[in-house]
Amino acid sequence: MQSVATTDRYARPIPLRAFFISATAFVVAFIGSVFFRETVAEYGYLMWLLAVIPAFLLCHYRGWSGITLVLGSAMALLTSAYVVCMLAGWEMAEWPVFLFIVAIYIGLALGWGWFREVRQVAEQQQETKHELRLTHAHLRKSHTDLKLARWKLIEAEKLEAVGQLAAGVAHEVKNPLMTLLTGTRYLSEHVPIENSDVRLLLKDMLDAVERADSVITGLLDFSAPRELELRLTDFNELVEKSAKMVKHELNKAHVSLSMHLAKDVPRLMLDGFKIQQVLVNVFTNAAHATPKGGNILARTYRTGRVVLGGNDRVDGVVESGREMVVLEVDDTGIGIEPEQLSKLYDPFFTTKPTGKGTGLGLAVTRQIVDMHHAKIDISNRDEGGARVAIVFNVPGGATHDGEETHSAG
Amino acid sequence: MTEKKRILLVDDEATITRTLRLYLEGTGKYEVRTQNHAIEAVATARAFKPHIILLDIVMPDIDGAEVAEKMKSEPALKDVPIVFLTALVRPGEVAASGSDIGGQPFIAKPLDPDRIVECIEKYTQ
Repeated sequence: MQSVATTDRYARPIPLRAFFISATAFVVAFIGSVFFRETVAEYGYLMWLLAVIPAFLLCHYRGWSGITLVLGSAMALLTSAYVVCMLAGWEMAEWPVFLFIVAIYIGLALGWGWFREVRQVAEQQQETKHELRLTHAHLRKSHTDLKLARWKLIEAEKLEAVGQLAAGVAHEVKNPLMTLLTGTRYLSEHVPIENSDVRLLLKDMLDAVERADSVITGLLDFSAPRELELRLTDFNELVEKSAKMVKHELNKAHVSLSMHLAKDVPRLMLDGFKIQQVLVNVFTNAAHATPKGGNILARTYRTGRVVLGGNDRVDGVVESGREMVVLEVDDTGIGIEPEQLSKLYDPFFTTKPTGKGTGLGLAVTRQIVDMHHAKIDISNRDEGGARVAIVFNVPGGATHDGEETHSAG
Repeated sequence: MTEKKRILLVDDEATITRTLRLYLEGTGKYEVRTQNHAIEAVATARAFKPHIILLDIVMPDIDGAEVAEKMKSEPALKDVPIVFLTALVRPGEVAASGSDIGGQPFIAKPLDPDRIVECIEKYTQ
């Protein structure tokens, strides 16, 4: 950008040019006066008028309005003086006097013109700077939007690819899984097995089938219909219901879950089934991340502004201009490696031990949250452990009451 | 001794029909006939007179929906409950087993055989 826009027009010494033009006209008139002294004595006013006209025309043509104005006035004055002298039959003044008058006019013209030009240039420079600032801000925003759009496009393409893969693979994989599952169950239940290793082997096979099926099911979630069945839903109730669903996981991990659910949380437009899937996934992850004897804290509240953990996928501060409902789930685990934060939503990325996670849970969670035009952010807390925050917009006309604290787990 | 319920399994995957047959017969409650060729399913059903038919949807010769339609047009078979077995990926199909497709119940593969037994009992009351 630099100063390209200003260089061509404003860097030229316009007043200087005007000065040279006027000065040339003046010199021509002066030389004329010297050589045609007697004629000048008689037609002095006309001579000076002739000297001023070209400068006037040039200034007018170039659009130097200040100089044009002054030169025009000079022409009018000279013409008037000439006419008055002619009519009155007065003696013509000596040429140095006219010279002096014209010189003053030219000087005034140059001064005024210069002042106007300088002021104009300064104003235009200010305007240009302002425009540049606006353009810069606009460009920055466009750049950010473009990056976001590109990222979303890549995500969408990735998800679409996974969805297509799921659709193609599921049928071919589910049939053999059915055989394995039924066959293994048959052996476990209907064939007497004395050998404990064989029993263990059959149990491992059943676990393996279950795991393979959960991967396929996770993949199918990507190709599940994108339409939501939105209904005004009691969000706190959904959180409590989801917490009950993970009770077994929590007990298995010897982890407790406390809930502080603000009672003024309004009903939200949600697909209850899908959001429940999200909540169960978030609670399950928290349970897996929290060491034995640890605690998970789930909190809901309504707000107009929320500060998130600074993950690069969402803005740190969300101010939607309308009310929001936030769910925060804090675990007391070891947190997440900073370099892993941006990969958490990638399909098949998992921090869990092999066989314990499919790496699809958060990818599906993210997809469902996006479908609700909500935001999800995962960050490390200063006190230790990780925080998952999900921010929903409150629909208009929602109702609310007081506040209440719940505890479960 | 009570009469065993007759189940007709129609699936082009012989491994599925074989293992499922073993499992279901192992319960001692069912007599199972299998058919891996969809095109012959109606004739088998006509001869076997099943109490329930478990019918795969995606098969090479003729799909399960068409087989079901043919069975429903046979006076002897029109009242026999049909439960679809499916590994298809279509909107709504994977939501939950026990939902129905065009009025017919279905089982999403793979399903725990215990749940299949529950399903059979439910539709053969």
